[in-house]
Amino acid sequence: MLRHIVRKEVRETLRDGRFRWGAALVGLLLVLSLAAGFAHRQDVQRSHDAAQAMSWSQWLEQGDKNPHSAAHYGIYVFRPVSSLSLVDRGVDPYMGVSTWLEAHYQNPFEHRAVQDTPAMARFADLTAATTLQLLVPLLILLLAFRSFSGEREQGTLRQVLSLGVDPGRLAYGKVVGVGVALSILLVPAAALGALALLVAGPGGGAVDGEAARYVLLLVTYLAYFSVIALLAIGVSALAPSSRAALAILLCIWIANGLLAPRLASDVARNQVPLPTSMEFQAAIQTDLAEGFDGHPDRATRQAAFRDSVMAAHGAESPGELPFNFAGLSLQAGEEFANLVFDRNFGTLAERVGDQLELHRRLGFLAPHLALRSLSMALTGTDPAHHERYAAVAESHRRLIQQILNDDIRDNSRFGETYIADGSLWAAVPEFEYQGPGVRWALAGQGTAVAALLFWLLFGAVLARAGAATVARRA
Amino acid sequence: MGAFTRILAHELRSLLADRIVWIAAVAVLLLTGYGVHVGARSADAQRAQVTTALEEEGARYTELASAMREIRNGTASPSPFQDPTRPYVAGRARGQRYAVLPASPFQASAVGQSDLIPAVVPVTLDGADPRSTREEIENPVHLLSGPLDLAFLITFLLPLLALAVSFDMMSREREQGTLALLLSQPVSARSIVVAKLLARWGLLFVLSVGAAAGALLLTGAEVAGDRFVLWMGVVGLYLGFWLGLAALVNVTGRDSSRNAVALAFAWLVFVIVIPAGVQISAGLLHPVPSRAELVALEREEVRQVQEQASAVLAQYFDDHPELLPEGSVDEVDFQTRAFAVNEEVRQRLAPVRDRYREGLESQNEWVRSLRWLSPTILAYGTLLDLAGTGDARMARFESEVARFHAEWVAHFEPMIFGNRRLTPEDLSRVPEWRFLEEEESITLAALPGLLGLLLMSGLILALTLAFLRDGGDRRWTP
Repeated sequence: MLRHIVRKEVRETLRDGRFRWGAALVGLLLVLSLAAGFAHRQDVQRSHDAAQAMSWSQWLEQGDKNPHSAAHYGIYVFRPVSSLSLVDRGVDPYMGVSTWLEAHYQNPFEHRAVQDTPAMARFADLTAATTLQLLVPLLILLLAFRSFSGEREQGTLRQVLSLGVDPGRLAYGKVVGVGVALSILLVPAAALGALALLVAGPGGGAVDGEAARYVLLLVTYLAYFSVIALLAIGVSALAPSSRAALAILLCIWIANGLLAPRLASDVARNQVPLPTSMEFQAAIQTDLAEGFDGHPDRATRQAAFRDSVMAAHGAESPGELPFNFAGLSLQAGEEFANLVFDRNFGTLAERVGDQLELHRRLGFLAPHLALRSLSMALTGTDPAHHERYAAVAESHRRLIQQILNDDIRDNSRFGETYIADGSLWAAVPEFEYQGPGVRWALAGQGTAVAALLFWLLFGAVLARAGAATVARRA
Repeated sequence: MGAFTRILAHELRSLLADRIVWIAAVAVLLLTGYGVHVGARSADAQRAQVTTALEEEGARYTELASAMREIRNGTASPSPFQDPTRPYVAGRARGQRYAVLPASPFQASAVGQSDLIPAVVPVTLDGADPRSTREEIENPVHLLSGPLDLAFLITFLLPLLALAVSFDMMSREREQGTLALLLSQPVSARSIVVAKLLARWGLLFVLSVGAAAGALLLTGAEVAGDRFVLWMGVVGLYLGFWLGLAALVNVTGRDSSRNAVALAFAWLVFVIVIPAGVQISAGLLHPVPSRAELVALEREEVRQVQEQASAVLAQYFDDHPELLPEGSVDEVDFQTRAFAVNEEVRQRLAPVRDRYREGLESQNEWVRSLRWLSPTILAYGTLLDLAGTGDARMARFESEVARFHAEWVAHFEPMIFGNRRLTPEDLSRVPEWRFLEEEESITLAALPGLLGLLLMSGLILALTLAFLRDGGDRRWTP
């Protein structure tokens, strides 16, 4: 029986001009946005690779100088771009592209790509992800809003039910029917996406396990489309008329896809405020100068460190030590600064994380928020992936300082001019980044997965209840 | 009372009797209030940011003057790198001034680019660029979502509301069987359609403008009168386009549900597909290079210039022999060398930096020339221009910052090469930042947008009326 229902729904849908036009439009947009995403990703990755190679050779060829001068010269690193970003660019355009690994400071990432775009870009940011997250659901609504109400208005519903069809099975048959019709559009799109991914290749190492990530991405979107289809069919059954069903579904679509992301941002901003850039920098400077949590101020710190080193070696002045005190002292400064950075950047990342968790919780009210979070996580373009990259870059910065300061300590004398050559710069390992796999990506997404499952359950209950009600009324 | 006015009055009465209309009105009031609140909060944040920066600058200058007096009196003798009487020190972080973009008098109506382009740009000898100044801290997901401001509500949601009250304005009459009755009255089909349109337009216009005005008054947001009038013009004409489109679809004689779907697609095409197509093609045709290139290139230039620092300096004094201090180029101090190197690097990088500006300008140009394809692009651009948060004002801010920076460098340059020392009195001669709003050009800038919208809505209305030439299409009349 289910097979018959599905076959009827599919045949009717395919015959429908609305579907043909809508599917053609959405299909065209999907292909265009995938192509644009592919071109954009390749372009950005190429320029980041080139810039990073250039920065590394500049480091190697900086000439003979004091290691601490070299530490100030530093290295720039450029964020790799996930190949999956051709599907969902996530927050990539809104994050800085590079950071400077220099002595004493953890620098934030700078240069957001979105600053070099017209105001329109933000308004009309059409990627494969926005097509899938906003337009496909709209297509589903337009296909399904008459599924029960239309049949009731035409009188065919009574006939079907008189055949003894279980209303629940009828509802699910309609959902599957919408799915099969849509698969004509979505299966080629998914294949095209896979092909683009194969051509794009892993490159850059922004993420690992692309294949698994892509498969889970498909599953996520499939689940979301099922939620929308179940809701649409449930509402179609419960609404007094097709007209009312369409109005209700469009309101849900607007609230879920257009209003919820913006409102959620405001809620998150109010619940978990972030410091301004000025406050943040000032807090770091204060911590460095005046100490924190029982750490004394800079002068006291430096004097105490000097005294302890002297006492340990029974020396009267730094010149008597068997190594260069300057290198040891620089490293001690770095290590204290690292505590300050861990504390300040750590708190900031935690607060941003709290805001994002709030977005995911709000996914129980608007499934779009849960889907968006999952999609960005799976494509490796969410803030968590950026945060991880920033953390690895920062530990590389600390490694560079350690190597250079150790060299000053071991190979020079206190108070004397010391010049190191290229062999020391080459002793610093080149920065390499290995992106995380899918398990890591999903670790923080428990709430989003739960929200999506909740909506699947809710949709199923609604569709079944709707079918039962409509059967009783008929 | 003429037949036309009777139909108009009846339409208004039946609209006001519709529960859906009242629900929509409440939604409009709530959302508008919220949108204005969001815009006003963002404008206030910008004002606070500007005030904080200027206060810091003032305090720093007071401190600078007293430090200079101490050095003159011989009570302090800082190292050359900390000595603010040296022009190279005063022209950088110690004496930097802020180029600030004040919030416009109508900024509460649209956030636009204001949350992406910093409004406070430090100007030093090293450079000044609003697009590469350290950004304000913000959750990137919030930037991605965009603000729920008035401009978003007008461009995205107002059309949906207009379509919701008008998608069945004629088809419903036919489906209920009242159309025949209506057409049997001594009144033309055209008058009926126009009366129905006018009733809906009046209702929505009063509702949206009234809600916005009320919200702006309540939040105490600054509102410039002429800007608000132009804003009303944009809203009225944009609304006219969508209602006209609904009327056009209605007179083609399809049933209500087909109309609804056709109009939903029209919304999709004009609000999402065309703007996205314009934007994507702008990016493909006029790509702006990644800033990554600039970062790496800058360093490369610095290295090259530093290797030839003496040559650069010699060239400079060759051009300006009057600035050559006693002695020879060899005795020119470290700071003069550093300044000469910086300037040379900046000049060498100017063509690279220009590529970003030019890329963005050509993208803007492309968007401007294609904005006639969709009323949404027109309306959105004009709304941002009125709010002072659009591309035009940002570009002006950027070029003003560049001009101010050039003035800044020109001010300090002769003092650095002449190895002069500054006195506290010199501080009052340091260039000061001014940003003049071009109020009259706001009106001029809004005119093409208004004209375009007028043209589009006029065209739609003319098409609709042409359809009803002989009392309407056969399919339309019952």
